[in-house]
Amino acid sequence: MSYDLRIIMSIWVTLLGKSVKHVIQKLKEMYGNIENAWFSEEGLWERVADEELRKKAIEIYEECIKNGIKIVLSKDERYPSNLKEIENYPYLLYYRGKLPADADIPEEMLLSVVGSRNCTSYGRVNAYNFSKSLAECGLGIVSGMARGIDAQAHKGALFSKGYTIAVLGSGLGNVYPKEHLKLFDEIAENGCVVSEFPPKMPPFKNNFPARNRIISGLSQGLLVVEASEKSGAMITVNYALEEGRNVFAIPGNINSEKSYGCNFLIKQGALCVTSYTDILEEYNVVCDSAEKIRGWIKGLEGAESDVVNAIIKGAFTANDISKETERNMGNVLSALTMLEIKGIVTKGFDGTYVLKM
Amino acid sequence: MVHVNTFGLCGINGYFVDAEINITKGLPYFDIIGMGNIAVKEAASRIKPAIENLGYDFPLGRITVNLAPASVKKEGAHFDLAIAMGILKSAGYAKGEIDKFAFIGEMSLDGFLRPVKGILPMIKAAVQKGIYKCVVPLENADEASLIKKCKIYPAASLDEVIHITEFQRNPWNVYDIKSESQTQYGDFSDILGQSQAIRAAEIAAAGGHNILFIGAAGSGKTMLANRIPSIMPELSFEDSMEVTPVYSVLGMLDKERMIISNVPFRTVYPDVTKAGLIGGGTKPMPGEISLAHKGILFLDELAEFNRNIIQSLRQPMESGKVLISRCGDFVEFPSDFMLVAASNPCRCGKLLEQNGKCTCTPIQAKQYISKISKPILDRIDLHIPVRQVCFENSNKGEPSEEIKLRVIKAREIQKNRFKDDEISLNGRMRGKDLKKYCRISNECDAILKSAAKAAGTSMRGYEKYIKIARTIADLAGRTDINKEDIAESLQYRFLDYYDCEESI
Repeated sequence: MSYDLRIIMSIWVTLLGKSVKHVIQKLKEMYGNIENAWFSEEGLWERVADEELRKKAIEIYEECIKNGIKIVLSKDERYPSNLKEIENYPYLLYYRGKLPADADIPEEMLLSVVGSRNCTSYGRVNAYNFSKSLAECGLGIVSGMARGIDAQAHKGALFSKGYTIAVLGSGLGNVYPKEHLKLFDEIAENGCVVSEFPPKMPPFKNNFPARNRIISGLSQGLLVVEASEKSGAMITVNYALEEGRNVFAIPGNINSEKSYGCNFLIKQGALCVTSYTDILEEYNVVCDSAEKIRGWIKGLEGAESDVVNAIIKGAFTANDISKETERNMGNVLSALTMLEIKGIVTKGFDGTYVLKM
Repeated sequence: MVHVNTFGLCGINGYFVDAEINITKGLPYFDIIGMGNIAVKEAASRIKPAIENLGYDFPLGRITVNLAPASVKKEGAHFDLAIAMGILKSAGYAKGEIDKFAFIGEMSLDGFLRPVKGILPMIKAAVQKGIYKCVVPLENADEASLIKKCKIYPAASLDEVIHITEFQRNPWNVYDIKSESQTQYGDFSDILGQSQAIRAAEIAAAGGHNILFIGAAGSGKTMLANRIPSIMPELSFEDSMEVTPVYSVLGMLDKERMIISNVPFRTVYPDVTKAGLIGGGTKPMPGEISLAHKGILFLDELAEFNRNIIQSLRQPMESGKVLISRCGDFVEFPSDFMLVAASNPCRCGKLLEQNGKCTCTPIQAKQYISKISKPILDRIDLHIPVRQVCFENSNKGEPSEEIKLRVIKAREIQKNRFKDDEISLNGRMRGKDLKKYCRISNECDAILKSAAKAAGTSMRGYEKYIKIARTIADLAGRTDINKEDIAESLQYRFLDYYDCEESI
């Protein structure tokens, strides 16, 4: 096993203090440059003299190699250029999978999709559908692999075989939440999982706001799918605004507490999106899949077309659809099943029905 | 020595007891043997004053009463009358042929008869034994006369009993059996805008499928459950005669309700004890599941029930009866019921509501539902989400009477289908019955498989979907299951989607 000293030194630097910027400044003042500091035996700064930290850096490095975790330094060319624009960008990134540079995804095509962990099926379905359609049109979806909106965004992108990046608030060897292990592997295979924390880092509470700055930093725009006022997604929005990113928000029911955040953002001037094509326009991408789906719906007959029309009119429970179509319940339910099989309608986790487009 | 016929109760079955009364010379002494409990032993102290208060001399000497079979435990005060008659016969006061009669009744100290519990199963046992004349307390006469083969002679006092045995008297004549007054279950047309849940209730009632309503407090789960009896056919006389003894031994019959003819509906809350639900006690008594025999057992707040208690429902649901063993004896109660349950979807209950007021984290919500015991959930065919409706723009449902007609028709079709089988309802079908009666076309099979794929669920519910589809077809009067039936059935198992990873 060959050791890349350059990388080990970088890991060591991140271990020296919380703010890498200050650490480098201090090292330069005291030792001239990082290399000198690494080899120095002078105890000008007690943390530099601490041999334990050097051992720990090597340990982390070995563990990364063992687990197939790669490391990219901010000096490297492959380091995401979007991320470099932000203040306090990570000094190095641990990752698995393909960075945008390796996957041939232009960084202008990245979009972050965020929202509450605790969300309604309205949010889940939108996160899934927007990501699915946008990924189909070539956008890369960046999110945090948390429960709720984040996971649905990744799943949608994976479904249409698009590119997606998951930014974790824990180490890559310590996936959180645990039930997303399968999702984690899928993303690592088809996209990229990224973390600025060493592999064994547990999911500390403070890691997540830091993680959020990377989410917004990686991309050109930020889509807030569903967020309550106090959601972590709102922290991401603040970063995005500081970093000068576009902020998109999907409007929600004004009576739903889970939509307060989104509606508030729209009031404050965020771009209101009601269809994924709104985002495509902003990204200057032309995609014709919307036409395709409209064609599909036109081909339906009888109960199925009535049901689709009722859903478009805003009926989402079987009761509402039956009332809207004036058909009996058995008829409506069997039409719904056939539409599900055709991939036009999907059932939310709470048993509501939504168009899958 | 004198033999007197009487009957004992074991569970909800009566058994013949031969009361032997022997009086020999010696110091006055009165003993009752035959494994009687305290109520039986105390008969001695009741009978002596009763006989004396009627003006007879109580015979002097050693009186031994043996209740045979002597090795079976006996409980209750209803042996009083038989013992008293035996003593009167031995003493020569009663001159009639008392061995043609069976005597059941409790004595009061002044010689009058008090009503007893469980008269119906005891009379049933008398007929089986070949005794066709029974003397019972006046209050029990109506109930006893439900058994048509047996002549019932009601009596108010011991004097009257002696008179009955000596002189011819006409047996009790029941002009018409007072059945329960038609209880008001409520009507499905009272419920606004829950057409999916009502349709599911119709399917459940028609096929005897167990059903679970999931929804917030106030969404109408209990209202829906309460109305299911209103669309079920009334009990046949045979069914009534299976159900009524259960109520009889618990003393739940009265003048207004002599026979259970309405579909029993029993509500059970999470604070129920195991004995209360399944049956039990030192003297085994039927529990709620037996009271719900041929009817509906409604478990409110299913997720809040103690897991052990719910688990104990498994065997009765499987076999339609419950076995309770006490000190080596087995007592069997019937428990062939349809399970209706209601549950919140999460701790705060608002998960399914569209206003986003649910305060549970997704993990908490999942944990809440997973508190429902899996083996029981596996026996529930339909799970239906119920949401609050706004009253302004909801239309009225179909009246229960109309739904009931369809249910009765569907049940007749099933009766014909299963005439050679032990089962009588689609919901009770097992693997082999499914193969026999529910052939589905390749097209239907393809729908089932592709729907599972589209929704990302496992095919665990495969058989259940077919069962439900069978009932849907029966409701429509079709002999074959067509693809619409299958497609509809796929919408009735909400938790299959709720559980699965892929759902959005």
